Amino acid sequence: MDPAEQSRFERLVLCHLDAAHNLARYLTGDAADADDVVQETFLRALRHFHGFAGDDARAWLLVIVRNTSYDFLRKKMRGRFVSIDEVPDLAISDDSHATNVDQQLDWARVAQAMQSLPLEFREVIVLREIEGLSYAEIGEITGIAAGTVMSRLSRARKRLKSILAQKQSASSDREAR
Amino acid sequence: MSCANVPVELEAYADGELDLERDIAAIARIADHLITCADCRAEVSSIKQLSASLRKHLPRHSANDMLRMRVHNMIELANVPAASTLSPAQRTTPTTSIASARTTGSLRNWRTLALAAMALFAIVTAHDVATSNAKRGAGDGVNQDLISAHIRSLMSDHLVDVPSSDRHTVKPWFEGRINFSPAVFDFAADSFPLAGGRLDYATGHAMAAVVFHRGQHAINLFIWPSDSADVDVSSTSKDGYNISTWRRNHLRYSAVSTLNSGSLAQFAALYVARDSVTGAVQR
Repeated sequence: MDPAEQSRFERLVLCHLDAAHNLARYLTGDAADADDVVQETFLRALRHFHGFAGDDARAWLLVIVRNTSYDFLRKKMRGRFVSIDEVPDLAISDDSHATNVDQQLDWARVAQAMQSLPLEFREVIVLREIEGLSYAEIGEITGIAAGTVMSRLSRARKRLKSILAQKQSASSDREAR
Repeated sequence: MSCANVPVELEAYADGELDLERDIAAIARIADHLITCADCRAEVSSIKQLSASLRKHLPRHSANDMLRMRVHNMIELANVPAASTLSPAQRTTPTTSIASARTTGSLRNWRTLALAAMALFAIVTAHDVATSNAKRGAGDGVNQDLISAHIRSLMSDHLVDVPSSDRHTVKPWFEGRINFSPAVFDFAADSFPLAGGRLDYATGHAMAAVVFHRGQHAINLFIWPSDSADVDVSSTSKDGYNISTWRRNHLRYSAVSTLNSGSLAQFAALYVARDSVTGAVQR
């Protein structure tokens, strides 16, 4: 890599290090694994940077983060990798949408609920709510159509809401005792 | 949700993802539906509320100092023609996948490579510091020096001389080692736990470095004597490092970290507040 290419890499790609780490951290669920994934991601990114001609370096880098995370998890889990198509949607109780989720939440509980979500739900939540990406951008990174992004995000939110509602009622039960 | 005719694009509508021109038909359809359907109105507000709540509560895990440095090193190394510097065995290491690198001997090579990269980085940094100090004004030079001291403390695995989360251990440790008495507090209750203390030397001064943690971020609080009057906290950032500086009771305090500037400023404010309460009693 020549110096001009190197500075182009720093300008376009390196500034997304935090976004890369954040996604890897949520996908792997582990700080040390996330560091490994990010290092591997940047090795891959450096190696393939000459082939990058697009204008969205963040999406380009996050695709690599995602692929690297999935490769890593496949090796680590060895077959315990479950696709969301095999995960049934939880039954949503009628009052769950009326629960005011915000009031008693702290980030530790939300983060815990996030880790219990299937990967493909977790990633759309991270990309949408933390990175603030559009359906089109999320679709580009995850390789699905914008319409599929919408339905996946919808299922992910319902599931997250139901987990949080369960925890909330469990903790208020405890407080009542 | 008991509505039997939930519009397909309701989620996109709530997310503001529908386009006024492209999706005008869908928008009109949903607007019509919402006028008569209380369930779907509740659903839209519930989606928006959850989204806002997640944005507020979900932590964004930024890269820590160590990882930031490793990635920097990797880019530096990519600039060096591989054939001239690395043996074939080392060159194959980066292409080995991480999962197998962990279980085979190639991890050793990877470590060697990382160490070599760090040494290179140290040289490059030292060179940068030397040239930038010559070029820039005094304030910038001090900050650059402090950032270098911060990086050095993380690289050498020598973050603390006295590892302790007890300020009654850390504060006396400095006595007899430096000729001033820094205020040392623990902010574990505010999620800035004290990790220990260290002597450091930067900008031509012997300094007390008090180390705190916030998540994976280390905060080095450098303290050294200053003749100037008290100055309130001011914050600046450089090369991805944030610095909050203030002066109090003839001491200068500079907190350096990759922690985001808001949290670092919060840390500084906590310190100053505690110092003005307890410091007055002690002195």
